[in-house]
Amino acid sequence: MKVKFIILLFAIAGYFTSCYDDKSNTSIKVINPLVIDMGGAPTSMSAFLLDTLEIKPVVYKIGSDDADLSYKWEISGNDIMPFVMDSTMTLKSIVSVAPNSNPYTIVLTVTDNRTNLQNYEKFSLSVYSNLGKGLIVADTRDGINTDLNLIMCQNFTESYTQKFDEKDNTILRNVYSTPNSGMLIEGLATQMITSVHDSYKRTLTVMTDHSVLRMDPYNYVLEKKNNEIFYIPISEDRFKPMCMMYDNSALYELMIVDHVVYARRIRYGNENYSVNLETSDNSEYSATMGCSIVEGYNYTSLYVYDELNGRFLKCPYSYDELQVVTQQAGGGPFDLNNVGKMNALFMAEGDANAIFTVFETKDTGKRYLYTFDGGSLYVTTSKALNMYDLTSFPGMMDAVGFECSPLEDVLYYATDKKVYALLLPGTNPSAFERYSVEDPNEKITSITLWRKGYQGKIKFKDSSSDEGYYTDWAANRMMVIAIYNESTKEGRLVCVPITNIGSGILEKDKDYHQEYRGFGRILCITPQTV
Amino acid sequence: MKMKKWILYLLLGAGLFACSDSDDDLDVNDTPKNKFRVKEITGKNAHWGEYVMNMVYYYETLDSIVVRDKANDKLAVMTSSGTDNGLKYSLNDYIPNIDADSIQKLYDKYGSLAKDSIPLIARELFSLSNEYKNEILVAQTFVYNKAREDVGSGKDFNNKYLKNKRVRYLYEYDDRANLIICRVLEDTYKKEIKDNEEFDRLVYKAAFDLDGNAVTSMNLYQSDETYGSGEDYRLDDTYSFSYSGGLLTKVSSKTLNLEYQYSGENVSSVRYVDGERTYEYNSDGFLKRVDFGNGEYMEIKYESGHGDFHLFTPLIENNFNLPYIK
Repeated sequence: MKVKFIILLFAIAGYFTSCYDDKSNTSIKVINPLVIDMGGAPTSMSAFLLDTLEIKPVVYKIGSDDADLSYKWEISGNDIMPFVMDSTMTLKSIVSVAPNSNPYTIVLTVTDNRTNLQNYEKFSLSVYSNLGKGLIVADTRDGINTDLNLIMCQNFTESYTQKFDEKDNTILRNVYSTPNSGMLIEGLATQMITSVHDSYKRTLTVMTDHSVLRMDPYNYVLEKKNNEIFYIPISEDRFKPMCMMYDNSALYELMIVDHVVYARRIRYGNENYSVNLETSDNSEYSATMGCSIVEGYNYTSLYVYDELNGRFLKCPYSYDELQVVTQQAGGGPFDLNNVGKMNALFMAEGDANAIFTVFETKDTGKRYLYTFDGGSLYVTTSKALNMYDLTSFPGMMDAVGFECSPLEDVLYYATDKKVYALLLPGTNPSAFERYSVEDPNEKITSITLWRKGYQGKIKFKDSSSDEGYYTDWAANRMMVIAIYNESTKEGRLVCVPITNIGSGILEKDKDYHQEYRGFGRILCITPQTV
Repeated sequence: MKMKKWILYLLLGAGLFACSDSDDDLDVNDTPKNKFRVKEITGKNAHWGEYVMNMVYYYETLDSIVVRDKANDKLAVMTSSGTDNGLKYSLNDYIPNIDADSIQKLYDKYGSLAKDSIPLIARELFSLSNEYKNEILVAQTFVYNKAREDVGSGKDFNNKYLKNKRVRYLYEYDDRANLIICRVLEDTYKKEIKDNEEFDRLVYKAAFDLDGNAVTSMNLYQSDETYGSGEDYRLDDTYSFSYSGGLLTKVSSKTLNLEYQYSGENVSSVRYVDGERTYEYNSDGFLKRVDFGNGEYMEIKYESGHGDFHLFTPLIENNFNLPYIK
């Protein structure tokens, strides 16, 4: 009864007051709301790292000028330092945060600058990685710092089951600086290696002349640097990385730092380099260069060149020392333990698993190619095969790069304008011009044989086929030539098929060359194999 | 006793509302009611071919439409439903829900009688959502779907329509109820079936300048797509409106050119860059026939009463003085 009375009282009071014109409220003006209209678009979304993320709402406040509204798109979550992605009505931004199993949060804050009225909209962003196998290209735009780029395409990524379709080619630029807050690699990259085994830990190691950086090539976020990847720290004044090598049989990475060799077993998720390697006879050494065995499981030994003693040192399967080489009986054209006073310019696996080394004499500046059979990881004996005086071959003394191939007895070398193939079989090796750049502003900066097996294909001209070509694996059949245009400041890569194995013939028909443009000066390249 | 109490409450409530001032400053209730409303449209288009469309009203609101072909078979039905802040109209095609082989088998077995045995299913071709605030139309969303080119057969049969386009208009008026700003979200869905849920979006803003109630120009802005530009909108195009004797005769811009011809005060034709539409009127001044210039046409019949069929035309078109069916 009491409740009924109260209701009735309120009702009657309402009736009498409803028509009362309350002047105290006439100065109140209803403020129009700040509207964020998504037009039916979802507020949860996903994107791949380095994708361009676009979110397009319409924001307005009836009766207000759009120019009075300001915007802030801020991303946070997963322990990142929150940062503003954009400050316009529609968001357009590169996804630069690392892939994570938990979504990030993006908050759009809209402010009416005249009234300070604000409205918010919250978005959820899941970030995945689509960065996979391909070719990593280190380049520089300023001649001081380095950034990385990833090419995923037929030549470098293609697996056996995929069709050769160039429209699927992707070049992801600035893959290092983008997820690292715009930070570049200080210095110029000299070498890079990717590795993984047992699915434990993917690694990309990048080297400059004064630093080593470690990251996951699925997100390129800098994880560790310099001594963080060495079990025993190297003093700062001696931290001078010189060369990296990779052994695909024993599954080790090697690094020469200030003439000392360090090994890292890449199995079981090990990320760090062990203590420096000593020689088997405890003699001093001064390593300057080594060769990688990037493909195959034939247990070919990896070697380093000891400039102090003019000798080659062999890496055993256990990588616990550098073995002094025992030359096979019967000698050979040179002594593997005393090649003289030489600077090593190039070392790689060549024909029939022989180790090819290009030397320059310290006194006369003459150039030589030494080849030797390195034997296997389990056998300490090695055999010198041949020694060639390269000095008089055309362009040799101006060479900017060398290359050889496990499939042919050929030494490729390049000047800044031409690529030559030096055919080694027989008693009179001959050099032939195989490629040239015609633009006076362009210079060849390096040549690299694509050695990675079962990853990457290339088109070979074939007039008998309906399509005019056939495709095959690119391993040891594709030369990657880096070119820099001094005028436009653009670097490019040209992939040229090696048409005749044994003769070092590069396809002349440019329709069968694949080209990748838009880089700065290319410093080094490496397959992204994991 | 209970009933008496509720009547008392209702009366009190009516008293409260009776004296309340409307928040709405616009003269929305001044719009005159039409004497007639569309009852039937006979026409031809690329989707249905020749068709007859019949409208049913609930009081002054369009309630449903049935579309039939020349043989009087049902092609499509439009229904309406209430939403939180307005009405949604959904036009569904009625299409066979079995594959072509199965249809042929029915015909082989039952001859011409098979037609009645073919199961049909409704697939949404079009929808329109109108949103109101204080009785003012503040937003319209038009959704356009399309039939699959290949519906497959057997276990791969799938006749679900694909999303094609979604256009959302957001309206802003001046204090005389003239449309002065129209913001547009235009979503174009990806054509590939696997990506059909994804769309590319364009954001526009059309801002009108008026002299009295006559539009003199329209600036069309597009949201700035340039990364890091710092701009929200950039001017995309300017439309100039020309008048003669108080009648709009021309709209011209970089991308659009409309030329109007009149019969009395009614637009008799509009010439586009790539075609012309012609319009005929009945003695009451209502649209009687529209020819689209490509063989498609509409003939319109009316009945007494006010209707809201005009809502199927985006409001922004009114500012271009394009004739519409009432």
